Amino acid sequence: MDISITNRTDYLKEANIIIEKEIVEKKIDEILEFYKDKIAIPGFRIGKAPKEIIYKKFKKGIDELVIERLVNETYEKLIKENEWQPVGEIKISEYELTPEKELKFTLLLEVIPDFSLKEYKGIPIKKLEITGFDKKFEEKVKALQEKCATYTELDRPAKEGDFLLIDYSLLDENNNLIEKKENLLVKIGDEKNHPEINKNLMGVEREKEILIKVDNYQYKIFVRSIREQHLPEVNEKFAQELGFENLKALKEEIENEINEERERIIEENNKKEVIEYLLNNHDFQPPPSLVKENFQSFLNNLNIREEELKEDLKEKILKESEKRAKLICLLLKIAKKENIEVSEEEIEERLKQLGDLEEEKIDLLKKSDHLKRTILEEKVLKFLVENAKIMED
Amino acid sequence: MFDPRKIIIRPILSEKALRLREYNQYIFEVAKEANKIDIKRAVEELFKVKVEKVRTLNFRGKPKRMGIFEGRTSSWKKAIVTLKKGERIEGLER
Repeated sequence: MDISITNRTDYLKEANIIIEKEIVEKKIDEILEFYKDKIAIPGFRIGKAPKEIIYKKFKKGIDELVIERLVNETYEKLIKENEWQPVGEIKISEYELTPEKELKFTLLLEVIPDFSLKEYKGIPIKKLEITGFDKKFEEKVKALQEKCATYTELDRPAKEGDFLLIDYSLLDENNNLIEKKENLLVKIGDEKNHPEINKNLMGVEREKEILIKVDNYQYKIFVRSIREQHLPEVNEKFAQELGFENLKALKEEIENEINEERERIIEENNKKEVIEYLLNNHDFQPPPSLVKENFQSFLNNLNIREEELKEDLKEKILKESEKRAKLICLLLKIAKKENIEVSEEEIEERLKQLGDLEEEKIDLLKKSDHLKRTILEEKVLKFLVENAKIMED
Repeated sequence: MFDPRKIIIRPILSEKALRLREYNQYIFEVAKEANKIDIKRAVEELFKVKVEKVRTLNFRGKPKRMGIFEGRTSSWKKAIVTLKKGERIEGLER
């Protein structure tokens, strides 16, 4: 086998390959041997027709099969021998099976570029100080209380803290209807409301309509009723109503939830720091097809077509895609160095987590490397975070 | 004019035909009106070989029925050609 490799760029490899007659003939023979007993040729009992006759009759198909198999085998061999990690698309061009039974073809593939990997164990991560978690417990309890709250109707003008059951329509400056909602419960003085609305709702009476102007918009609000909220007491009965055994169990559940939330925030932050460190400390050009692939997936996530993008946004997304492509290169390289792999079971497990998917979609996910690569990236990131050095201030 | 291509219609490729090649014999479907002398001359001219002997067999078409129509397939003639010792025809595996 004659292989000559040209490095067109850091990431673009071209391999010109000539496979000699003996190997091609051996492959043809292999295929004929396999199909010999399966093909019926007039004049012969099945399995009795000589190989030459089968070959002459099915030459085109068999040649195609030979080319396909030899190209695949050579590709696998090339990657293994040169320790390439291909990304993006592979182009096979100018393939030809000569009458002398020599196979010639050119492989063009993009691989992870050959850059030197800097130390990635012990990446310094600043310890994250999480604030705003002290009141989390009370907030969560309050939210639960509000969920189970009861209301009594009031027959007086509304004041701060009251709840109003309203219908509203939002009109623009030309009195065109933008939004309309019915039976909405709002609290007067709620931070989520616009201050103008809070101010104007104060003192309204039931079954009255008011108009509130906010900037260029008008809210037409009809007050159905004014209500007072009664929060249930936090006690054993409250816990049982929510489906817990007792109050202790409820509190424990809330604590757990808060801890999980805290851990998730820390984990996300650690990952972010690791990614930033990796990107800042390595300088190389990622393969364009990988950048393009990421750009496309960004667009898919945004549900937008490339032509619809504004120039500045496009540039932003392109920059992000480049970062992401670079990160993929880095992570895949580390995965190879550390022998981090993804097993079939892990893919199955992930597919289960994704929930009920259609057969076709599952097959597609299994066939494409996408899912495998996602899991691999997560595993490497986890490995890097585990090996990072957390710095206290 | 004598045209060997009109006499030799096709080589017959079957298990038996291949077996006979061990005895330097080749089987052809030939024109029905061709005689042994024509066949000998045609094979010699087409394949540039020397022919030792020609045997011929006539096949009657088989009766076939297509719905209400009865008919038969065409009759044909087969020739077993023995070549002189040391002669060979290459590339008949088509």
